[in-house]
Amino acid sequence: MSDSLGAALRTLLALEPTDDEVRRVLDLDDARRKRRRHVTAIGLAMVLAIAGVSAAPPTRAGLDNALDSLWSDDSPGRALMPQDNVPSWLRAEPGEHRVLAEAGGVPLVASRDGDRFSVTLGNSFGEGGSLDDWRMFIGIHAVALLGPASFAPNEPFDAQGRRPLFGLAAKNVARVELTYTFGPPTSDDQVNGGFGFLADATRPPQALVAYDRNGRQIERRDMSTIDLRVCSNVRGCPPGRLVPRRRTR
Amino acid sequence: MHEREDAARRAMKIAMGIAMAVLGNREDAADVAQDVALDVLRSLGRLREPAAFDAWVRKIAVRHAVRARRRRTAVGSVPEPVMSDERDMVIASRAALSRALADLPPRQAIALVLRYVHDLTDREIAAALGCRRGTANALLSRGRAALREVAELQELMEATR
Repeated sequence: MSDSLGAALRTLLALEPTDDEVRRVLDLDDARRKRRRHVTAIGLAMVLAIAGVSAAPPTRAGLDNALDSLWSDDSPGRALMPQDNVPSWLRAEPGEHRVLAEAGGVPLVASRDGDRFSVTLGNSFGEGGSLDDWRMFIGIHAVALLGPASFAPNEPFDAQGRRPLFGLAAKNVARVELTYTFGPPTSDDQVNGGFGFLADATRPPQALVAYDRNGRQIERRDMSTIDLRVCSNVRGCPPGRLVPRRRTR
Repeated sequence: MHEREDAARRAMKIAMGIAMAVLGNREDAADVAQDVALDVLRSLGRLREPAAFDAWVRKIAVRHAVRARRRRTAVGSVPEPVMSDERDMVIASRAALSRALADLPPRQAIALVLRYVHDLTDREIAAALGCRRGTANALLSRGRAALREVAELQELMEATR
């Protein structure tokens, strides 16, 4: 038991931070050091005056993240149109509805009603919660994956084995790319608060990468635990059973 | 510059393993690792004995991971956005172990990680957890026993043999 447990634990927990994660820590630490130097130079009297206006620490909430994009006054995306493929109940729901992204004719709709915010992925499913719920989900991230949708009931894939995949993105994200363990990535080059593309369910995903308008990488998130296949097509599934590891090239 | 970067990277690596065991997902573990690395960088100048770096980071990581777990428990469950109603999302097999660990009391999960991933002795585990050696040993025993009762894990154990 102990040997096999140890092997399994080592496999699960041998995690490495990405270069971006390390860079972010160093940047935050740099900002803290600069503040300290600044504060020391101007002296105690000025500290009291400045603390309230310019020496506020760069808290996580202050960073540009996907949450800001959703709750800002300049609503991202476009208004919901009559021809959009959404559940009929959604149109009857109170609040403002915006289409943040589309993939293969399937829209990602964000709805805001007072302090409640929800998203609907085509006709597949929705997710709702308070601002705090979403803050916990999105955290400091510039991109947050919501999940896959279907083209129609019992029609999750197109002829090429692709399915719509959606997520939320910060205002400064212009392009989102899904990379796989092999083969070319899939991307959305017109990100506006949300992203969506037809992801290849036949290849294991590797990472979700966000870029700004200048092509600079903003964030890279691990997607290696995500599997876009449908249970009925996979031996050992559905839930409650361990799914065999998929082969990677 | 390199010294800071190396310290941050090393601290994050140690913290991620510990936090992953307690929190059950990489994103939350990465958030804890970030906090730990910032604490480490802030106090790096005060570390007199470089050989004690890992043990020092482990103590900080344990504190942050347990605090994050408490915070999460207090707030309640977070939405699971990658699961659909159709239950057509398949989570990789490692999720079974991840879930089982995250269900353990945090100190038991941490004790298991420190033993099996970091190869620490009972005494070193006790130092990281701030408890006696006998307590560390008991935490390990109880953690192992709890994992043995998780049926899904039996399959995983077989698979890794």
